[in-house]
Amino acid sequence: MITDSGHPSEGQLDHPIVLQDAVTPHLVRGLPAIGDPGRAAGEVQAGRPFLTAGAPDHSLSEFNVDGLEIRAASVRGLMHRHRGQPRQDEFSVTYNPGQGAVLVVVCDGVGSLPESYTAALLATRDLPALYWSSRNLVKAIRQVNENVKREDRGQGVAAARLPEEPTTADGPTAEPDGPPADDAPAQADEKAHPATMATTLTALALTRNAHGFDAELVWIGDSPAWSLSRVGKWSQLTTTAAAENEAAVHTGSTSAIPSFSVSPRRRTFTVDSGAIFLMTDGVGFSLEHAPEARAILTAWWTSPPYLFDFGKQVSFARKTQIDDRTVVGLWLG
Amino acid sequence: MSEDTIYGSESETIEETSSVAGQVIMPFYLICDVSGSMSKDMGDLNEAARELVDKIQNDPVVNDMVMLSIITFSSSAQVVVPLNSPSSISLPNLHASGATNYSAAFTLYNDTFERDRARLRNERRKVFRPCVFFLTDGAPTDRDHQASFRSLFGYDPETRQGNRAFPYFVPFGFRDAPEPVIKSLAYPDFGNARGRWFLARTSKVGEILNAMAGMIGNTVISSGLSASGGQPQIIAPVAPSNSSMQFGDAGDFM
Repeated sequence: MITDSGHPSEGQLDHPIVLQDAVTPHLVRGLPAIGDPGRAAGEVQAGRPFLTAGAPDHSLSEFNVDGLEIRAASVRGLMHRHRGQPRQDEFSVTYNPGQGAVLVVVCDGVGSLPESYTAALLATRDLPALYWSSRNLVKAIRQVNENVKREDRGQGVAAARLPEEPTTADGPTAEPDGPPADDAPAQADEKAHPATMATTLTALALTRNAHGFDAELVWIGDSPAWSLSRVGKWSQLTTTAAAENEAAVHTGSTSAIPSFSVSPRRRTFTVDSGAIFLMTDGVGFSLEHAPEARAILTAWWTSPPYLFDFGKQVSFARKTQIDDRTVVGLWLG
Repeated sequence: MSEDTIYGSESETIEETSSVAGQVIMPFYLICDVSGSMSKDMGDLNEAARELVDKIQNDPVVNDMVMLSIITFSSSAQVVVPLNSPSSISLPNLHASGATNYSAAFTLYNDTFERDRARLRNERRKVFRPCVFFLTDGAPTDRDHQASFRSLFGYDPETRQGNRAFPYFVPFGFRDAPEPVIKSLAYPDFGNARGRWFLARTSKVGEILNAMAGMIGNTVISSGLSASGGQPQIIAPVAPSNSSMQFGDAGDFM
């Protein structure tokens, strides 16, 4: 059960979805298909390796700590296979024993910029160290924003320094979420350096309390976080983009870092049961808009699956859903 | 998966739409002049249309992401290919006769897109901004085509008044199509992705239609590939390097 803290952030939106009967999916080249898989799932091939060694096609992780079961999977989508491009999603899962806290970060590199995987990798690598040393997630994200910005301009970044010893669990310090002061020269400089990379960023910090966990969720862009109750009820924890006007058309636009003025959204709550999922919109889109997908994901993820099954499940085939996929699931024992 | 309107019980409706819910679609509309002056070119036009659909069908990713429709116009307009996946399209043989009523084409496209969008939304699909390719060999025989175009498609980004679902409109003119008319139809004339116009004066109409079909096919494929990565954009058509085609971007319109 999730209980919000005293002051929910602006635009809080709960999106409860009732469990529906699951349909056993058929397989397309070994992967489960949810609904119409389309032609791409059956016809797009793996493609040839790249000239230089880089991110693996798929990445899996599994942990258990403090009563949490964690499964993480990031898979290269059919689109990037088709275009001969690498995966642009990334995730990280870290744990600080001195603070009894887990930090999960999920990033979705913006596909229209060629170096976006670098942005996603930097963000998922640098944020944990910055957070553990400050215990201020918004501040740490602002520093990551600067790191990615410097990398984008070819100035490189110094590796984030790890704290020398675990710090005590004294909780995050409050800081206004407002944007930094206007800086016209910096804005002009932004225009002089066309971007080569950008990424969304969603981060969840869970700290053990007497009955479950205190949670701090911060996000920039459209990589959502969802909770799944023990009875199979989904609730979206991140606010969606403003509802599209009925006369308008779908645009797929999102906010991302690096940004001149980064204003992450933030929400705090407590959780004592069920599961929480951070994901990129390669899965989040189907979860939000397709009842059939929600039903099947409920059946799969009410309890933590075998890791390699989780990887296959994240890779489900569904027509037009061919972006990279990343999901990190945390099940509360 | 049938794209037809679903009838039947509510449980059947839910089951039918659930397998397509959440799909993202880029719709493309090809509006072709089949007036009397096109009579000698219909063989080339039919062949170019077939090659266009074949080219798009051959790419499985693009075939999944886009839908195509073909509208013809002369004295009146008609939908000859309803909006559908390329691999589900059955091309009819097009025939020419009659005048060149631009307004009829614009009006039918607008009405058709609104119905298509409503149907796709009812099926819980996400619809990206439509792209229209307009092929004509002559001047409009209706006097109010500019006013029709303006009232149906015009959008003011400053005041947010007008048609927010305006199409990305790409006119292709050849033979007797007037240059100022063709240029005036390129839309939108604001923002980073402005409409583009094309004009050809060669007498080799077959080659022109072939080149135009190739350009349209490349645009559909490139745009479809951009959509599937979550960052959709219409990739403006580009004239072949060895082509004598004139082209330009939309200027002031409203």
